[in-house]
Amino acid sequence: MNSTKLMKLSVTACLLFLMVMLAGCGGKEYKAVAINEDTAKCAVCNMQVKDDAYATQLVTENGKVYLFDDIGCMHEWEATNPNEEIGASFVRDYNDNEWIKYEDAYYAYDASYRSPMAYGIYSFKDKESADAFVKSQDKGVVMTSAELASHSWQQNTDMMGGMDMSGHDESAHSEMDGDMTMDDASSDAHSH
Amino acid sequence: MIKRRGWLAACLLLLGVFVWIAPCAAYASLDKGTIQQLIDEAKPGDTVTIAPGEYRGAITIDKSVTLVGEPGTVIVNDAAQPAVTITADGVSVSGITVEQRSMEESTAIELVASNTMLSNLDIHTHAFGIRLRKSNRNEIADNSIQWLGEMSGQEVKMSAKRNGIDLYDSHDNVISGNRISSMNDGIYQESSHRNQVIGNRIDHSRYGIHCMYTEGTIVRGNAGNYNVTGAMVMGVTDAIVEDNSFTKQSENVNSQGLLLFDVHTSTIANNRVEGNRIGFYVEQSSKNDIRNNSIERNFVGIQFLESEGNELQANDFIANVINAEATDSPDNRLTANFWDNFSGIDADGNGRSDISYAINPFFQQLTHQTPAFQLFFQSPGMQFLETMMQSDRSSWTVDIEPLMMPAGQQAMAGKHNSYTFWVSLCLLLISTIIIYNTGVKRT
Repeated sequence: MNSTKLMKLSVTACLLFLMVMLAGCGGKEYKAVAINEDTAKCAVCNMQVKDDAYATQLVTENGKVYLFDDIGCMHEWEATNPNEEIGASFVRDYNDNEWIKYEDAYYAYDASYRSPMAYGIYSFKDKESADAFVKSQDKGVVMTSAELASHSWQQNTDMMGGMDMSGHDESAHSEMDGDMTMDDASSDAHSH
Repeated sequence: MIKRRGWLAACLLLLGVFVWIAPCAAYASLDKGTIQQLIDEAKPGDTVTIAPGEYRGAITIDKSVTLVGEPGTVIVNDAAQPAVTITADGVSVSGITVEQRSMEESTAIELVASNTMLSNLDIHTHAFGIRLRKSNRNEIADNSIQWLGEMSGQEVKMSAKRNGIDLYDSHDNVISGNRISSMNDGIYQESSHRNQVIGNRIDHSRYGIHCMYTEGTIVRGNAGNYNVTGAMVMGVTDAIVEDNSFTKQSENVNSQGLLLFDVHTSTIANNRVEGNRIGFYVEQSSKNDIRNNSIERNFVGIQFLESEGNELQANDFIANVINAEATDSPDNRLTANFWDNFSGIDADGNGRSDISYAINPFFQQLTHQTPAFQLFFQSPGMQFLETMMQSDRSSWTVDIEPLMMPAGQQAMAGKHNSYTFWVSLCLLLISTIIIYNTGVKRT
């Protein structure tokens, strides 16, 4: 009687141990690192990464951490480094700067929101606070991380957005044209 | 009786204290009235002169008046809104000291107007200095902007500071002769075009001049010292960056003299970058004309990353630990630059070497993947490995005909030569005359 009980117990203990071990193997725990403003530099645009709500980071499976000053730069990095195995990526809650998993966050976007590289995307830890923010701004949309995958990632460089870069090479220098383009530009800005 | 007299004395004393305190309080609140009142009473086109004294903010200028502070005029603002807000076109403000004390996201001077003139202002701020929003053709000249100092002695993070002059969606402004110290970015321009930044001095700030998504910007004759980076030029086309000097940007690990990121068809000429970690940092930039710059005593003179079609001519690379690094940067045209670590051969005597100077990208590739390898900077082993890595040499950045003598010296040498020739000829003549005359007479 007693020995069978002991057997059962040890078997369950063994199973439990195994489960814990397996779980440990499968889900490598990634953590966001703290940002030191003296040394932190965006891996894409080279700007200082401030310890603020726009900062994001990703950890590769090799354990290398990349910091970004804007979620748009992180997206850019992922696009230009498709072969890197990304372990986890983190964004911050707009209100209290808490690090949150990229997948778990909700995102508010509007072209007029200002961010270091003008991607105009803010991250929030829950849908309510994202909704509340959009409501307070009276503009913008709320997205999940899945919806963000199909986002245009257009930078709001205001006047430059619609312009064809090659189209105004010669004329840009003269004073007259300068004035004209300014008018164009301001009307463009209003339409935003 | 004694008791009553005591009471009376106490009452008198209290009254005295009141009478003494009351004017102070009234003075402050009345003063707040005075500048605003004077503006309210003035007609457009009037000049309002302010007598010396300390005044309370915040004030709003909503008609085109000229506001002149006599020496000793100070506006102090503790509120979260700007000390001075200008909403009318054609306003001119000069000669005032402004103290923006609140740490809230605000500014000492807010400009939402065009054709205004801000000059000779002395701004001390815990927020922005001068902020321009949708404001065009303004002139901001000869002002001084600096961080107000730490609250209760504690060190404030650099990121808590804000920009000295901050432009957003503001065009054709002229910003000249300002002195900016200990701010976040000295002069920040975003989505603002054809602004001219001329002859400003910026020190101990994050980025001296920071351009984001601008066109036709002119940055000329500015000086930057001890900033994290002298000028960050990002997302820019058709800019002119010339005659600037960016020196001693080396305290931060990410320091540069001048950084170009995503910059196209711009001219970078006659700048002096000296004593920085990296002189010029050029990434994802194309078709720029980089010429006649003097790049001296930096750890790395110029660094190219993913940049192509740039033209580098007549730049002097002198006494940098590494003169140049380049990775993934094909089709840049390097001609007739001077590289002091290169010994050329000039058989035909045209001042240019017959053998070319090639930039080995090995070290940069290595440290780009693992920044910690920077520890091996200039170590003998690394230099040995570098000489071993000669594969794929055809894709290296190469100066086809490097100068034998610095471009700067050459220009001087020309003048120098004729000058010395005539002087020595004169001296020879004079001495011959003297020797001939005196010599003959003595014997």
